[in-house]
Amino acid sequence: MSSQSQQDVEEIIDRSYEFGFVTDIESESAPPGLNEDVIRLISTKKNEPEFLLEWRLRAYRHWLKMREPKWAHVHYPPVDFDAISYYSAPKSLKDGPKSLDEVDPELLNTYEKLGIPLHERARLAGVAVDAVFDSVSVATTFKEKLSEAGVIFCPISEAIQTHPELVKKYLGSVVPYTDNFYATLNSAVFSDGSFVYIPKGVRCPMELSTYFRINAANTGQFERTLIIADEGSYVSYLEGCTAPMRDENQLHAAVVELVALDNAEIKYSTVQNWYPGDENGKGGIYNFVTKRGACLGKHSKISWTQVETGSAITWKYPSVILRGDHSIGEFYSVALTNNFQQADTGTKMLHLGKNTRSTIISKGISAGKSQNTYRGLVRTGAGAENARNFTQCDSLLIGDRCGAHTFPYIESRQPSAVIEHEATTSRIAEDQLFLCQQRGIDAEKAVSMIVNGFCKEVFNQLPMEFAVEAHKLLEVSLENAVG
Amino acid sequence: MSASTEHLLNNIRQLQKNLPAPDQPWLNTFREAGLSRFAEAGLPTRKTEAWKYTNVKPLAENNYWQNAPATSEADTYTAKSYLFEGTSNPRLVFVNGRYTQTLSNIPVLENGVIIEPLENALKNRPGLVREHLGKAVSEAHPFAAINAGLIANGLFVFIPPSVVLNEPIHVLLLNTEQTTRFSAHPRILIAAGNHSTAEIITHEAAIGNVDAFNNCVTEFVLEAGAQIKHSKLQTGGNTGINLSGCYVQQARDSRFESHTISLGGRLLRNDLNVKFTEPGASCSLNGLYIGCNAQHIDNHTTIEHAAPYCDSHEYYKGLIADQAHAVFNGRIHIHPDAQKSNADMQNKNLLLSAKAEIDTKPELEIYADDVKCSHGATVGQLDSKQLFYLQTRGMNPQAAAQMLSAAFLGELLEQLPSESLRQKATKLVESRLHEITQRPVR
Repeated sequence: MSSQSQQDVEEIIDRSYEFGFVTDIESESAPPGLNEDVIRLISTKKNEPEFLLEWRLRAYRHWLKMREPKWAHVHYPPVDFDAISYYSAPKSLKDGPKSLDEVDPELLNTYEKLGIPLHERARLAGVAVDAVFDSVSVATTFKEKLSEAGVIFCPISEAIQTHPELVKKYLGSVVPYTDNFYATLNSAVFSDGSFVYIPKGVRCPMELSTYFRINAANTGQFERTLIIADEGSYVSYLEGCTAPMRDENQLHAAVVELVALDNAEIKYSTVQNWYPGDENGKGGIYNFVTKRGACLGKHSKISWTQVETGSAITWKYPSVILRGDHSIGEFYSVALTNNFQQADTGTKMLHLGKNTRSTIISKGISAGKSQNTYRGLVRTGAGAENARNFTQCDSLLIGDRCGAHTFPYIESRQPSAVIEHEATTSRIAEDQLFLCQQRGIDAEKAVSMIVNGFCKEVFNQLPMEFAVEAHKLLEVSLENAVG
Repeated sequence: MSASTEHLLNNIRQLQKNLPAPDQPWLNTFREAGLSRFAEAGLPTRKTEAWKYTNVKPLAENNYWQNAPATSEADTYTAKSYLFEGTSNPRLVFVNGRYTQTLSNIPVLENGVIIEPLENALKNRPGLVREHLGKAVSEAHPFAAINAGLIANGLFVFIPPSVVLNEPIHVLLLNTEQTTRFSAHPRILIAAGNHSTAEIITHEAAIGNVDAFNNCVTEFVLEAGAQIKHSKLQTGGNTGINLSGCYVQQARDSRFESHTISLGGRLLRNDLNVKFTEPGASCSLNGLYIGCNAQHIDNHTTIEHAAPYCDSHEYYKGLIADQAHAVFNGRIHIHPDAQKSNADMQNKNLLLSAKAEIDTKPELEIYADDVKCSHGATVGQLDSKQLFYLQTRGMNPQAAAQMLSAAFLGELLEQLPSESLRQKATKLVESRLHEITQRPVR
């Protein structure tokens, strides 16, 4: 590479995280540490019904017996769970805003800086935004339009008050509180999140979207999202996140549960850009997320699309349980790691019903000194007649100090099932780069172009607004790495 | 150390007492090191990632940990039928883990080639054995550690630099039916000097309901430019446990070719580990397995690209019927700085019964960027269109299924380097396929 482009590269490498800043708002936080009193406090603060408190306590007691999982291909200093504050709410929102005007202007400012002008964007893009600032939802828009269609889209804390029967029926039905260390912790202390219910036969009139944001220092974020698509309904849900710069590692252990009944379809898209830590691997978010969908009904479909560019550590396996006959599961993923980032991500497709189908497309890009792992499981149970899976996971390496790993598990007990897996790992071909440069495209743009082409299959799955954002995100995150 | 590991260790120590004890402190140290490695690792459980699908819990039972009764004439007589016919090749026969001279044939060797039972080699040329022993074996493997702890029986082959061995070396490891359970821990050590060439054929066989634990370790140390072909045929045995480890270390520009044909055994596990320590080395690993009845066949392979400019190819195909359970776990590990590595791995499976199971896990672990690596895995069944086509030509469904299965596996048989082995293996595969496909439709 020429010295000129080398300079450019270094300049870009030195670019600091654009979205790093801290909003100064008084927080009302629980003291650090976790015990039953803290859980009771959370539950009381949220005025939760008895069944939920019991559920939280059961989860907590189970969690005490569990150990942190060590099987993932990631390394980090142990998390001190007693140093985390498990509850924090922006103080000025104690009474809850009724409309956008009542929202703390400083909060709105934060979104401005992030490039998410809430009212603007919401109006222009026709997206209803349930913005989560730390643990309490601060603004929900387009409620009326949605309620006209009968769609329930609100913070889960609100749903617990207004629709306890739905919450009681489905909460923990896909990810039980005993599921894994982080999901159990989440079940005990979950703060808030989104709740979506699409009634029978309704096609949700707009794409639902939540922007998450970690803010108060030392506050773990424990989102809990529950989406239920009743028979014959359709919903597309977008989740995106950026986080302010911080030196300490922050824990993020969210749980997302999706339930699709007969003929229902859920499309869940994520752009994840939590703070990844600086170029020396200092700071950054620990993102230990449990995401799982259950295709309970016949002909139901759940599709996960994710673009993962942030977080110091990502530990995330959006999965689909294909229980209903003829149900479909999809997983499209781009995971990009740079500097000292570590990602261990993939999916699980559990085929239980007849004629179930699943597709897995995973694109991993690792640069700098990062480690990027695909870990996936495809299992066909004895009853999954004619199940079909296709998996493709490709890895691209940029730089000679990074790692790309693939650990696919394939378990088949059904003779009529057909499972295919293929994976490749390589770096950007010299001849492709040369061709681009020969046509007057500089090395950096060429790399970005090739990588975007590499990820195209996944980006095509993203809704329009998100595709643009993902494209840009990848470009910014990637350019740092060429050299 | 857990109580069960300690218990097992005591059993192994009992076995150790009966080993010939040559007056060589280094050998005792070697054995002790092996045992302490096992003490550390313990008997693997299903929670150990490498043993997730294979349960070796039966090995905790006492009665496996004893030597076989002395080889009887009847055993020797049976063993005769397992010999490769009419060859003047070097041939070494081990019955129930013991070298059986009457059946073996070691011709007069020229050019300094050494082929002799390990027990003799340890006495006659300890220096040469010591130089190579344990060089290629992966430290962490619990059963390789036990094998090291009980080292005595087996085979030592040394091929001096630039020597080409024209005839393949036949090794027969046969377990015969006995009144009690027993275990055998043979070690085959093959040291190939610079630019030497040799071919080894190992036949691991068991007769009838022999309930033995075979814990064989084969070790290849390839110096620069050496070329080794190794074929392993595994047959027979409705009971018992066969854990067969193969460890290869390859220096500059050496080439290793491996063919594993797994047909017999109730619980069969192959560990094949190849390590490239210097640039330019290459290997190709082929495997064929047929699981039927209640067989459990597990193939674990690891290829360590620890040096740049190395190539590896891996191709495993299997057919699983009845209540059989097959496992494939292939791992390619490209170390940092192992640039210009090429690696590809394929695992294809036919699952023919609703009670059978296949678990496959092709892994890539890559720490260098200028590499080309790929892997693929498929699980499926016979193509219904092809079956239909053959039936329109007048074949019955069973014959059609047999023909298509044979075609599926055929490409691996064709690649076997030894003509006599190819014929033998092809016959065995055909009769096995016949047996599977002729069963009433499930």
